[in-house]
Amino acid sequence: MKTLRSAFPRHLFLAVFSILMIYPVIWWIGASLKKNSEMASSSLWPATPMWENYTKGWNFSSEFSFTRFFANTLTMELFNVVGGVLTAALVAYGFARLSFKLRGMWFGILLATLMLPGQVTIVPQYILYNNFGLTNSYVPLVLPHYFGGGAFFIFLLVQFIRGIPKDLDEAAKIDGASVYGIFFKIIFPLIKPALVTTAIFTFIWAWDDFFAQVLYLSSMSKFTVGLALRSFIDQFEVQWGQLLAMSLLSVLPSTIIFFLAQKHFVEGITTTGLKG
Amino acid sequence: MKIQGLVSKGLMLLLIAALVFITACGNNNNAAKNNAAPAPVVDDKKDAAPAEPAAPSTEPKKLSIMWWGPDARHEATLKALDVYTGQNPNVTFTPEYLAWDAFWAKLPTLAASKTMTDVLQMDAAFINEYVSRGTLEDLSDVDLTGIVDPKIIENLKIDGKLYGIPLSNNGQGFAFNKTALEATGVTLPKLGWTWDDYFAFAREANEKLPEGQFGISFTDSWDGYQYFQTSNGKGPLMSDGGKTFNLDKDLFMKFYNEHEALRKEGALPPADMQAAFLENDAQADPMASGKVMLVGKSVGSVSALEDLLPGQVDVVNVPVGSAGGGWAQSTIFLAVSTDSKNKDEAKKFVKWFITDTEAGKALGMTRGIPINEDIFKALEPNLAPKDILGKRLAEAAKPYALPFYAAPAGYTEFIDFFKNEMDAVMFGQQSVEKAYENINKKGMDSAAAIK
Repeated sequence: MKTLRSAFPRHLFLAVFSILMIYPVIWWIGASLKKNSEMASSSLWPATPMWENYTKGWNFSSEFSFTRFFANTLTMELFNVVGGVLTAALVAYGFARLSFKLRGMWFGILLATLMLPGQVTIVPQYILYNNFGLTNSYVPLVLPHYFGGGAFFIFLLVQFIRGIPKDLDEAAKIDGASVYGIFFKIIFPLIKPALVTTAIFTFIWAWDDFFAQVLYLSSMSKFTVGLALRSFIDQFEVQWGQLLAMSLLSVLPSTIIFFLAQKHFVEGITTTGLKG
Repeated sequence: MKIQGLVSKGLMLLLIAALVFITACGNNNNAAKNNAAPAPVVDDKKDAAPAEPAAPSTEPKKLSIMWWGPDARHEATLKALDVYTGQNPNVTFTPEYLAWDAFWAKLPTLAASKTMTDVLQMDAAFINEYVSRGTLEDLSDVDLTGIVDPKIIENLKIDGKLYGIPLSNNGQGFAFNKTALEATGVTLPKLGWTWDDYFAFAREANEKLPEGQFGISFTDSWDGYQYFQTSNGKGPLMSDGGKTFNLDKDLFMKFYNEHEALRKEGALPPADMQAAFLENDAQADPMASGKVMLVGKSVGSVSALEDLLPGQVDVVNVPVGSAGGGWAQSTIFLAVSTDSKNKDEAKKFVKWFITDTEAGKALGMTRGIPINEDIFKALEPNLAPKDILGKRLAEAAKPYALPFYAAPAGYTEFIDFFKNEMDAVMFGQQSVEKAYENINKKGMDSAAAIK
């Protein structure tokens, strides 16, 4: 009884703030059912819900529906995440555990790429892919993830691997494990929390990377969800209802993945200090 | 061990320094290169069909083309491209179509990497920028006599050269509620009316209309005022790519003191009423709600009014001064890239695009009212009343038209600032004089920032 009473103000406080935080999402759900003319009205819910915002939005184009765009995006993401996780772990293992010539310098170069502003590389990178004839394909979007998944994740994993006692490696070595054996049997399973973090951020960042998608994908048959969403915004007119309805659906995959991986994710945060 | 650490630290510092240096230089190089003749940096394998000017017309050619727009425009344009391939079987297309936003996000990279499509759609707000970067081909030699009004072409020229083939008639004018004005006996605005007529109209409407209805509303947008300044021969607010800012004090004071006088007489909507207006909203649109009789509209935007008030709307030109008034021209173009390897075919195509009747039929009104009178006549029998209204607005604007003056890049903030300052005047929070000082200072600062 006593604990209940003392917990009540705290719960009330938390509840009020939770509602405050989730209010934009509630508005979003309501607005996705509104007509364009109702957007500015103060009521949260429309007079008559326009469910057709969802059906019309899903089939907005005469050529392709959002089914295609979701399939495109998720396929691309699958390759991104697999590539990012595998190669980042491998490269990080090399930097953290193996000693080779000029290791410090290579690591320095790697970290220096973090400081290189992205805008500088856009044009040269585009010329490069264009010369290879790889524009209007997913290659420019997926391939970079197979080169260590980006300096940031390598750095993250190197720090993580350094926290694992070297004794484990040595024990495995004595049992006859090779360099790769140590990686697959010892290191890889132990860095799982950090790998989940890597996977989630690879997924979300690739999902959100509108600019690279707009640059490298030209034909509508290859459009991602992010590109398709832009089609609702025309020069003079914005289909707000359909746009909000479809963007609500477009955040579902990220949300679902976050909740599914939440346990590992939290573990990853506590051990790597990285969160959204 | 320690020495090794020092060495790697030193190397890293060096590397960072090198990176910073490269980054800084890269930008300068780019700027310099953009002014120079286009270097053949990129050899796009897909579009690399060899094209000598004298090549026989049967040689297969591939034209890449890029445009923005809604879905209806995509469908129509794809159909038109098929028509062209039907007439010229050796030419095929690589089309790329995007939304407005995505188009302008992508184009700078294509321009910088010299991989722009052979043919691309252009907008009046951006064409100057791309011409100054040397990315668009001079199209002055494309013969448009008998297709486009020479006056329109003259207004479109940049430094005496034509860089974009105009596609549609656009223009600025005013729409008024003819039915409501006739019912109350207010003199209707007539073609060629002046700014004096405009203010007289506001006063007469105030006398004859019932309480809570007004002839005009307060002009709080920068372009709304700019029409007054340009029509009186003092030129646009921003010129020279935004480097020069000129807000004529006499005209500004005259324009807004007249509005303040009207406000005292009760001939303008009260500030809180005007603030609640929401354009094209069934209930809150100033005209559809029946509260304001006359509003400024462009050809593209007037059709929405016909939907809200079917059969009741008529149009008139922007009031004229000594120099003319308003503008009428195309704001959407087809341009050809300087990096194109099929320039001759591309030029042939852009001319065909506005000339061919079959293409005109496929394209319909998806890019506005066709610039080519013959094509419009072919389409006219099947047009909706709202399209006809747009055409009439374009016709009303044409005789008095001055060039179209868009806000150059770097004036986004200024546009909002102008409105906020004038809204403060509308709510009686500051004097016209003070608003002039603030706006003038902001404009001067924006111009200085561009230099």
